Amino acid sequence: MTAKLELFRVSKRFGDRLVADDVSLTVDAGEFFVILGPSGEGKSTLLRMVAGIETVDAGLIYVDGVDITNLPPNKRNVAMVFQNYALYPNMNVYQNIAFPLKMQYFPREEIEPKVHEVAQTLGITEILDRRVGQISGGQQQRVALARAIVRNPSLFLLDEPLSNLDARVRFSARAELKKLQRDLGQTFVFVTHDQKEAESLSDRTGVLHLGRFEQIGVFHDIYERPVSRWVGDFVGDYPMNYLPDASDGGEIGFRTEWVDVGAGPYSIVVEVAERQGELVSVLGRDPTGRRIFLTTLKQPAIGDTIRFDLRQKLRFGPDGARLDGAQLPSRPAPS
Amino acid sequence: MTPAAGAAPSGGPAAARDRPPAPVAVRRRWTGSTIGLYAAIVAISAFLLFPVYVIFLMAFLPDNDTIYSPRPPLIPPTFTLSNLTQALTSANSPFLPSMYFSLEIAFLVGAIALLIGIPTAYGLSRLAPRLAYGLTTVMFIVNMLPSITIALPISVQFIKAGLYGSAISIALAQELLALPVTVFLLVGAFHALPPDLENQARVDGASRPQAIFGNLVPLIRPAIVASFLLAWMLSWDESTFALILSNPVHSPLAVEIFYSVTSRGNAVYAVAFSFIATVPVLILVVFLQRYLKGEDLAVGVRG
Amino acid sequence: MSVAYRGGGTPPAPVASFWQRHREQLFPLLFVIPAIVYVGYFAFYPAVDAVVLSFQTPIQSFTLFNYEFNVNQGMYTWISNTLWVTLGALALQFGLALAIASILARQFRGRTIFATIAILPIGIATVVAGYTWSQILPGTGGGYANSVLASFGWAPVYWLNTVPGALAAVVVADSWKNTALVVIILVAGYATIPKSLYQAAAIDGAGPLRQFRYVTLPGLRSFIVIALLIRGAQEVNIFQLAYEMIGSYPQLLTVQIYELWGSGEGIYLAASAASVLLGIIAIFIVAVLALGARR
Ligand SMILES: Nc1ncnc2c1ncn2[C@@H]1O[C@H](COP(=O)(O)OP(=O)(O)O)[C@@H](O)[C@H]1O
Ligand SMILES: [Mg+2]
Repeated sequence: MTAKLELFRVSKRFGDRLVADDVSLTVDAGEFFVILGPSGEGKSTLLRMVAGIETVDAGLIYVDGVDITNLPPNKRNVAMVFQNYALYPNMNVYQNIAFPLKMQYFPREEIEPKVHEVAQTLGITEILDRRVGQISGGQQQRVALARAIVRNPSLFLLDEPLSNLDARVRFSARAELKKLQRDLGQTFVFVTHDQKEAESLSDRTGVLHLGRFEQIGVFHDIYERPVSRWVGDFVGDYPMNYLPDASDGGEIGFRTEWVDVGAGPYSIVVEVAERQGELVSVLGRDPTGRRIFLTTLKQPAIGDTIRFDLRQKLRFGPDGARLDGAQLPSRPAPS
Repeated sequence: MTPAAGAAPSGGPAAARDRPPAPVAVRRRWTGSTIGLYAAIVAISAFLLFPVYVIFLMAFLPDNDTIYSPRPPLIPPTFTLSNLTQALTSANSPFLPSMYFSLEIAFLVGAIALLIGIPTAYGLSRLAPRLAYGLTTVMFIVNMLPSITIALPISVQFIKAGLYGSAISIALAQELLALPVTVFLLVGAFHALPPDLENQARVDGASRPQAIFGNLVPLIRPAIVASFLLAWMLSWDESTFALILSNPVHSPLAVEIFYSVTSRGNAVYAVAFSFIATVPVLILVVFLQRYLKGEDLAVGVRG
Repeated sequence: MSVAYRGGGTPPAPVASFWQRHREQLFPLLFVIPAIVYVGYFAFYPAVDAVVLSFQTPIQSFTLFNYEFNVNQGMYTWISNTLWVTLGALALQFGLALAIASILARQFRGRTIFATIAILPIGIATVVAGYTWSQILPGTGGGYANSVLASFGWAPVYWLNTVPGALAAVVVADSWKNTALVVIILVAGYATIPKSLYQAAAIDGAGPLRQFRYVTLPGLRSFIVIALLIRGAQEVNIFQLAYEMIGSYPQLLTVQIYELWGSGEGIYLAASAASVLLGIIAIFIVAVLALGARR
């Protein structure tokens, strides 16, 4: 069973902090949707409202067209993997995976083959009778996934499930997660603050900022055409570079790889230059004193002037919104 | 520290690895501060142990050598078991029945402490911090209210309700002292659990009570055992509520001993009996010592 | 499309009951209700009831007679005796407990044995402790303390012959029984002080005394406040232990309440002394909470 998730104008407030501000979202059946944003932006809260462990202040939540806004979590058939995996420490791996089935009163004869099947899928058959304290972080993550899969939910929610893994395991776990989602054909909503994960996993990504989706789309589009300076800075390995736009008082934004070094209307004076592999990372200042980050092939000297042109550029207005056809979500004027 | 201890290979035989590190303070040379330390330890220990020794003397010496002696001997000239046998076997000895009564009350106090304390501790660990802080303060205040002030009106109520002198009525009053302590201990234990464990159980299909009692409560079993024993011990020792709320013809052990040494009965028999009755409690105290230090209390203290 | 709502304006409020909208907050509240009902009925209602009774007699519904009567019987002395015992016991217990906790914070041979000895008195019932101390420090010139003095060839002491002497005897006995509770709290506090602070202080040239003053005491502060709260209230309540040692002279509030209660005058006179006791503890609680809030 795979389902479509719809949020309609969902709001949530903690004290005087508006964590979700009139959020609407549609995640299609079978889609891998990534919610991306820095920590503290309300990503987890959004996911928890879908799971039912937080209530909404306003708005509606539908799974496959059914209103689940007021259902308690155990009536939603939504699976969730938490950041620290929340494995039950008093149960072994088998019992952990079997737990959701036990809660649905499956008879023992039906539970056993199901548990073994998902254990097979995730390659954790050998550790089924281990205690959860005795297995590695990568194995814990698989157990948490197995526990989510075993009950055949309509929707998977994953809250930064890779962030507790060390770098080496994280890379392969990411690839496996993507493959798993393809094979299952299930709807995944995945929360992360790591734009690399969004890039490699998502069918679509929503960038969350100040309680709203500032931009929703295919990751590559968000990277190339961010709707605002904020999105441009957050998405990508480095913040964007900005130069004043003489024509209208706004700014020109560009990414490092859009630069053609050698000649052109723009220039910087080199302050720092550091070789990293084949390329040299250069930090310099343009004539108005702005910091610009470039890469070159040859090592420049400190104080050299580098001229460059732009293959591609974005134009932002004084409010930080992109001027060329982008649409920021409307916000009520601050009162 | 000897070089051998420091050089023990980490992969060596189990005996070598399990050997505790030599205490740093123990040196061949007795420095001034070490002597001072041990002098303080000896002095404090003597003060703490002396009354226990006196209890022992009163229990196992004839009363002429203890309470009726103008200059009671510190070294026992003789021993006798007759105080104890009299306390246990004399036909109208009140001590055994009153001990059973005390046991009944203490188990009730322990049971009610868990019955009310576990849900309360869970609730406090999940409520908004300010509300939880307020309610914790209320529990603290309850613990501090003067027992004798509370006991007077309660005794009137119990007489009206026909409950006066019953085990449950005494237990319900003593619970005022046990419940706050239980709650502090258990709140600490709930706080120490990963917060998403309950949420995980709920998305996995457990109702909230199922998640609490099926998933969380088994994980805080050590704290539950500790709270039960602590509540049990508080009740065992409690004597103000017990005195005012019990019927003089059938009273808990602490009250019976109080009567024996202040008005009626035989003081020496009472001491002999209580010496025996104290041994299991002392074992319990030593056992509880493990629970009565660590983080649980620290968390409870921070409220 | 099953979703009808598309328009602007105010967002749709979920069609939900009050419970559904607030279940996440209400549920834990539900769990504390039994405790609130219980302490309301068994602690706060009787406390108020005692105050109400203190202004009544069998024939009058409001009178100050009970208070006037007790004041004429010397209630101010009962109060001051109680406060002296409280102050003395707190001073002795905290001094002793700080010493024991400081010792237990170290590593030395025999530490486990000393820790066990330190908490042993918890296991001795209060009524037994009181009687035992009445045999150690009696007013007769006999008793076990005098046996110890005699073994050094010293003259016997009549411990209870003066009011301060009797109160001091109660203080010593009570501290013997209850120091362990303070030790437990302070040891928990010691565990929260990072060892690196002591090393840093030692490197800065602080000796043991100044380490105690500038590292230990600040680190233990909140634990000391808690222990003061718990013990202070219990000291004011001191009853059987004192009664077994000194009887009803010098008078303490609790002992007087007990005597009045049993004297056949009815519960009303006892209630007025009990209300005074409640008042003392209320002042104490407010004072300590105010101090605690200020930190
Ligand atoms: N139960 C809660 N009560 C009060 N504030 C909360 C609660 N849960 C989260 N918050 C606050 O809401 C904000 C968003 O939190 P969260 O959803 O966890 O963000 P993210 O997952 O994006 O890091 C944070 O500032 C957090 O402190
Ligand atoms: Mg989060």
